[in-house]
Amino acid sequence: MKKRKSFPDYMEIFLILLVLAAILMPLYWTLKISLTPDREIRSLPMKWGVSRLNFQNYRDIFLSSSKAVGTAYTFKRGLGNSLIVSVVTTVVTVFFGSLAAYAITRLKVRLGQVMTFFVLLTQMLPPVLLVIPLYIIGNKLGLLNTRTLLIISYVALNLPLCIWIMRGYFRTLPSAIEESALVDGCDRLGALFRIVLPMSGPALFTASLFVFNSAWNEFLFALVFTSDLKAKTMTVAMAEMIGRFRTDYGLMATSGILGSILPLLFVAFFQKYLVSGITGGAVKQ
Amino acid sequence: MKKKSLSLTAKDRRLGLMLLLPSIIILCAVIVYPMGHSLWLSFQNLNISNPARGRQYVGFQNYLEVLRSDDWWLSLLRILYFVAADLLVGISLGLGIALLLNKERKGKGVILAIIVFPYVLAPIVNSLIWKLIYDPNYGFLNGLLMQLGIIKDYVPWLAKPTLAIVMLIIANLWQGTPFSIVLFLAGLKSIPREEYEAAAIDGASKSASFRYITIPHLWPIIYMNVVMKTILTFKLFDIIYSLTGGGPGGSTTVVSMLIYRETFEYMKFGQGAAMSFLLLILVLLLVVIYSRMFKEEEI
Amino acid sequence: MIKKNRIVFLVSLMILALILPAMAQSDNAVELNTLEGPSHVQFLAQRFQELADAKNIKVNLNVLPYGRDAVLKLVASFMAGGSQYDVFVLDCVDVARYASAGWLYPIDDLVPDSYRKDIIPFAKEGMMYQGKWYGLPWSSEWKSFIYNTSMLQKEGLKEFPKTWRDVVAYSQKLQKGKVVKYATAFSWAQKECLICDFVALAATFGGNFFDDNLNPLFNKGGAVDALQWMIDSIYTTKIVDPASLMWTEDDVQAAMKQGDIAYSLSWGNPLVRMNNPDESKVVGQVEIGMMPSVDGKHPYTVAGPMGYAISKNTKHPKEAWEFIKFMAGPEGSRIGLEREGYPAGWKSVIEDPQIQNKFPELKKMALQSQYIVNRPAVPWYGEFSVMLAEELHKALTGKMTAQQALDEAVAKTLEIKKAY
Repeated sequence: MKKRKSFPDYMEIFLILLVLAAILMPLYWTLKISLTPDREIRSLPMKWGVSRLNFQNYRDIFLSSSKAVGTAYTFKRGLGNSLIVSVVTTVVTVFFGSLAAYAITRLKVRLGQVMTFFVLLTQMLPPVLLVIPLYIIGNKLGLLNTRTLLIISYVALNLPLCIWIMRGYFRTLPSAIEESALVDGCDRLGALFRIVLPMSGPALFTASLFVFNSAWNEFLFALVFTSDLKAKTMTVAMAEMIGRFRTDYGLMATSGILGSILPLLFVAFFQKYLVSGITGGAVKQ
Repeated sequence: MKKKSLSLTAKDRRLGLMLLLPSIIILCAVIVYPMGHSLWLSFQNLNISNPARGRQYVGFQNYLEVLRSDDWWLSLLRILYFVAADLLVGISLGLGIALLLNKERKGKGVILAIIVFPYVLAPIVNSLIWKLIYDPNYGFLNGLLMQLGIIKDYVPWLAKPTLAIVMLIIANLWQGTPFSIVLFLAGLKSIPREEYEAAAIDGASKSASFRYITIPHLWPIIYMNVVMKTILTFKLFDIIYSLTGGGPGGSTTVVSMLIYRETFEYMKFGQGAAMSFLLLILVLLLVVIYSRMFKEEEI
Repeated sequence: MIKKNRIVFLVSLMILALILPAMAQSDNAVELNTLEGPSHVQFLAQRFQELADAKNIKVNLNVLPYGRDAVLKLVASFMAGGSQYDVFVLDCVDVARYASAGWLYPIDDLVPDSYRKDIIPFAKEGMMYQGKWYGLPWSSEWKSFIYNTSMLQKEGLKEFPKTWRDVVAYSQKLQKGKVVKYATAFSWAQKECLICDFVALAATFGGNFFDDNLNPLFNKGGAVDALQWMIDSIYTTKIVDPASLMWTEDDVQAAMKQGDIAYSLSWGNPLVRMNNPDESKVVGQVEIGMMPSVDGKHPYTVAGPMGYAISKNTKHPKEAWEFIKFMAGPEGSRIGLEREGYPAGWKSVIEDPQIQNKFPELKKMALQSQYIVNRPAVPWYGEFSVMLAEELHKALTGKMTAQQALDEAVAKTLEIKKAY
């Protein structure tokens, strides 16, 4: 039986469109700037369209090669480095984070409060304070200008918050399912991997998104710890587009869009985990 | 039938510790030393660029100086205003939009990707784009409003003290709300659908099931949102620095800006560290208050 | 038996033959590390190659973003020992601070007399602290005054007005005739750019900042008049775009390039950008002039010289000195100017008729170079500048009067000075 669309339904659609518009407008403007020739980026009166589509920025980035090392090429290499660093960081952080969160929630390890304190500590302390001691240590260990140093730092920075998010979701899961599994002879670790984690799709998605994005867009540590294309990340490459006299707004907007594509793909791909949750049938048993 | 609750065995507790161990090791190795170093610095009067003075151990003097300075309290008020606005508007918007999106509908992945776009956009680009949007002469906001006939002449958004902070709040909301939306969507998904069905069968209205089913289930998620938004907004720096540099007339100079200046522009690492720890204590207090408000047994 | 020894002998000879040249090379080729901003990378790579060919000094270039964030990287390297980067470009406002922190290698004894005579005074001041040299001038620029000639002609004027009073009158005429909405804009966002403009304007009103003992003087005389003029220009005479309170140099330049304002201040050699058809809508219309002043006799502008300096703990001080001489000495400066447009800080370069023929605007700029002031060179410049920007902004947004703001600024300056 097809449901007739009633007024509240139309209202909903309208509201969704409004929300999308509010989000999309700055996105559209970003896109527009990336395609506008430099002369016209700041011109009056404001036009919605672009008189002459300028793909130069995109061409610069995609076609740049190591022969003419410029900002566009640096950005391309930076994307690669950022990808590696972010993916590894996310996997490591979410893995250890889930383990820790499970320990805190179900196994009642006393460190729950301490962990929250750590969350605050790592999040609140301005990176400026942490960066110089870490630079000195990194220098002594010979890890400067490596992706490894970035990964280690990012994992440490994001672990507390990841644990905290996972813990928040674990607490909302009724323990009935695990308990029945335990009664059936499963051990704790098995319960974690076979029951709790699969049910935690939304939590894993949220935590992963947060960690990935945090590593992907991090700037200060990347700036100070890296110096050349071996390890330079995308964000540092973007900062190089701000010149002494002139900011290359077009190239910057382009890099912003290209730089967002990966996280967006992540969202599009994994959003089905946002949907999976406690399936209806399981609890009834 | 009384449900047997499983108690934790010693083996379980050991497992718990083992699961927690890697995280603790990583954290101690990377974070604890710099943090401890900073804490130690906060008890010294250290100006990196004035080694002639050397380091002087001054105990709590840095902390007292900060607490006595008007600039500190003013900047604190400003950021509290910011946080309050961000929480009220951001959480309502986040929850509202999440509810809208909760239904299964076509193109959900695309919609979600669009919604998340502001969140994943690199902060440096975000700041520059908003600078362009707010530009009085060439900016999109003025252009849009003029075309819609809402304003007659352009408004210098970031040049008026009281207006500047509002514009910053808006720009921050644009970037921050998507994450709230995702948190809430995740939370909504974990509410068992049978509860709604049962309520519908019992004849409950939509708003009743919202009040008695949705909100209680979401309570921990709302709490998480509140805490995270508070922490992240207190830390906010990039966009404020890029757009207004603390102006106009110092009206957007918030605590994070003071800390940056003290540490980085004045090279007074000791004072900067003291400010950071004071801020930390403050946020910790807030979180404790939140946890009481939300009736969480632990923070 | 003998065969085996022979083989061993031959093999060791071969190994030595392979190792020795490598060792020999690493003895001679010294490697220096430096950081540079992302522009001009090609030119720098070329020059570094020329240096390597000439003196067997290899220079590794680390590219990093331009801006205050990059300074953090430098500071981190100093705190980690100071040998990560041997040479670097230093902004004049940082010289005092780094020198007093002991991070710069003193080159005072190495500088030959010819250099001392040849250098343009403001470029020298920018690289000195307490009377000693710490760097060689590399990009010695100031804010030039530029104006749009076609707009001038529209009002029937042949020369740009020399006194501020005439400038205001001219501006108001332009605005009345709807040639432009606002005659000009300045970079008065609450950042360093505001200080630069204020220093320049104060000098044009005959104002001073500090006396010889670093006592602040800027709440009397010319500086106060300058601030008052700035406030009036937004609210009373209305010749300055109010958006200036949000703008940095980049935005002002964009407005000039769009033909939306009639005159402005601009760093370096502005005509390069004004005449670039990809960026500018006013190609060929812009000229460089002398700064207006309160009586026409104080056409001062502000400078922002940058120079090459050496890190105190570098492992190769001799080679580092060779490097900065190569890049930023008079010959190197000339090449920098000719090939990349780096403003030179040596009289022999900018007064050279050959060069002046090649870059005609340099003739005009050479005139201005006689009237340049630097920002105060004090180790606590960071704190001072941030505080002053906020005070100035309070006056500019109408929160206090000019006199009040400057009085407060002077009081705070004394505190900063004392606490140092």
